[in-house]
Amino acid sequence: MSHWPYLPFLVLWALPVLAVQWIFGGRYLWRERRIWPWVALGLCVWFTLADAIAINAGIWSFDRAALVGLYLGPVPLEEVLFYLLTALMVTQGFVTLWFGYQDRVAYRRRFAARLSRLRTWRPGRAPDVADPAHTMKNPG
Amino acid sequence: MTYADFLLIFLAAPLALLILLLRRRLLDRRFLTLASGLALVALLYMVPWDHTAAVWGLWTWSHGQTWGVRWWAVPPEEYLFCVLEALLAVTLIYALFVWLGRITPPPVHQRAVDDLDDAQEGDR
Repeated sequence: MSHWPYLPFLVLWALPVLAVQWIFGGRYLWRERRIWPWVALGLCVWFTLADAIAINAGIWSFDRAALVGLYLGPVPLEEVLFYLLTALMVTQGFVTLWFGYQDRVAYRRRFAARLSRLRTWRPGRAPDVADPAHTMKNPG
Repeated sequence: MTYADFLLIFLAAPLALLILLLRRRLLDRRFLTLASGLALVALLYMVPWDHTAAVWGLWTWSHGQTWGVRWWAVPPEEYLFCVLEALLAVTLIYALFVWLGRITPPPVHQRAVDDLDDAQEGDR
């Protein structure tokens, strides 16, 4: 084996995306936390079962030297994690973008307010423009 | 069982079921934009990663159970898997949000409703 093992190759690929989604959509992800984790978990179970059937049927196979060596039936642990992480990337992406789009007017106002504060800023002067973040439809 | 059978049974079939259940509630411009956008981003993000793993030999596909073609070391079925997985995930979470009342699909443009009704009349 002269390459990366599956586990770090997978985790380093998926985690930055999940981190960015939490940085930009954390307020929505936290608010909707009773829904999207179940979707991701359900998809992970469904695809793990499907993967077991595909592996047993011989559709795809793995370099065993690149695996940690823990299995759920015929399914390597890395595969279970792959389905969980990809389902999380898509469902979290959906939640972040859907509800973020609903708040687009408030974001635009906040951006404009910050821009005007920056333009009128003088040393030693307090900013006089209120932050309109409270006008959001979906406060965190 | 071939990779194409796998796609039909575990991805296309549940997606078709969700589409049947949601029907015209799917005719929401924001949902359609988000679903196609996320599927495209998923494809663009997964293909180079999948290609690298295939070149390394982390995983391989049976030639007899795929169409035999390789696009950039990856069989076309894998591209379909990626797109269908993203569409299934997006449609499932959208369906849950709709059924739980967290999302109200905007009233569909009347002409789109009429077109759909016409199409269904034509099927009968």
